Amino acid sequence: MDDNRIVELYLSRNEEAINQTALKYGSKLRRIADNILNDIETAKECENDTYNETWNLIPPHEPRTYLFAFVGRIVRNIALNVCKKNSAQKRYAVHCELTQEMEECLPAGNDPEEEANAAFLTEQIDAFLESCPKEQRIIFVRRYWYFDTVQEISEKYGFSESKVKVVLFRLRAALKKHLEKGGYAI
Amino acid sequence: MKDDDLLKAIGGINEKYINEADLPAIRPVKYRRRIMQTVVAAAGIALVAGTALVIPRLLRNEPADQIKPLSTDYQPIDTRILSFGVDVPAIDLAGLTEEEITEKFTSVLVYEGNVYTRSDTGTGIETDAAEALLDQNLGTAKNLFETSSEIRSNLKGDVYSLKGYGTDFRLCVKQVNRNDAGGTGYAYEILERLNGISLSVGSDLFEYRLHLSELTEHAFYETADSRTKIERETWNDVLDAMDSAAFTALTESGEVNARLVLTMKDGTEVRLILTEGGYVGYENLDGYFVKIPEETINKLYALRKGNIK
Repeated sequence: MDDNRIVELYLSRNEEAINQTALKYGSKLRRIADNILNDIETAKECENDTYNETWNLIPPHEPRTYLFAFVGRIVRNIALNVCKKNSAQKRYAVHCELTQEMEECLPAGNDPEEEANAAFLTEQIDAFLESCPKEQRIIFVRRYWYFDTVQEISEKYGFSESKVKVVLFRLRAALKKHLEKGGYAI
Repeated sequence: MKDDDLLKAIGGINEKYINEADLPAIRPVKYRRRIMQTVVAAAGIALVAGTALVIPRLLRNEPADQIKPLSTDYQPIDTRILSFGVDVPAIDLAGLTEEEITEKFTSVLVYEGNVYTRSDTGTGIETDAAEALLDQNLGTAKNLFETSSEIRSNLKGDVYSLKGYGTDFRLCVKQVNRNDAGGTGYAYEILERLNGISLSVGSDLFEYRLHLSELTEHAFYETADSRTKIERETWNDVLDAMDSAAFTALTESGEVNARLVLTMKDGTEVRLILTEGGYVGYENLDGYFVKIPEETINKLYALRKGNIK
């Protein structure tokens, strides 16, 4: 079923919408959550919560042309929140690894107001991605949006793992510079 | 700003980048060309070197190269949240005598409380391929009625996990056969757990358990009097349709029109049945099917009519 029809089902409050979303995107959503959490049972819970959240958000939202991105964002946020909640227990090694990588992108000492401006930050990242060559952009998005491992990316695109690591390292450094230019440095 | 905020902000990036990274990977042309050059060169070298490399290994009875571990990116959907899918009831051996069990299931293995039954999957597998498939030795099977034991069976032998397959699906019993002349041989029996499970869509069985996308080497359309190879493109369409269709239980399935016989890269064979109405089922699992669309089924029926070679 195409995304437009699924969104119509949500809008008409037809619970078949959840079945169709699960059929079409369930395994991808679970994979994203599992990539973050490395715990399939918790990932399944995140997936279930995503369906509930989607049900609550459509309407007012109508993601007719970007349903996967819409539900993907939800499952990412839910899984990241689970990580945050459990960070004291240090249960999620994958999350620790990713956040360490992200630390390299953070300009030192930021303005708290800017910290709160997540939408502006996303705009900055969008502009950064637009400036990247397509191949590098895909590697970045696979790593930090889909949370694929370096090994998975190298296998999928036929690159060596060292190439993927080098590309990611350079992209993180470039993103840091880009954010500094965008006003994130003191 | 915290590192976590940055990860969350990346979550909101424009959907065009998300979709772009979700497209099937196309390797660079250079890379593909290099593969082709390598293949052509390797074919020549293989003719010369094949005898020198392969025969000594066979003589030494060494296992074949290890099978690459399969990706685990697919996980089944939790059927509790869906209004479709099937729950295959668990087999209960309680109260059955050994004769009744043997008559009903032929071979049975109980591992970690789950019941595995004989499959025809490994029936034609070569001994070397079977040995190469073995992974971890999980222990020796005790008598089926020693209920305190974690591994028990009506077969005698060591129980192994199989490379590339989850222990929640397939296990192998390696039995020792001694002949009258004092020689020793081995028999390998693959058992599958196809009960006490939930199947929502086809990929729960065909990908999560059987890894058909990754392991199918050749697919054949088989009727009572013919066997036709299915072209890769057609097979991919059929498999896509099977993977995304919901599972359904049919107490009375239609007439079997044909079989889809899949020879796998690891030496096993998977047999699927195709029944009236476009239902496809796994031969080792009675009564549970996925229905594939008419246009896809017609591509297979065209093979029967000889329209596609």
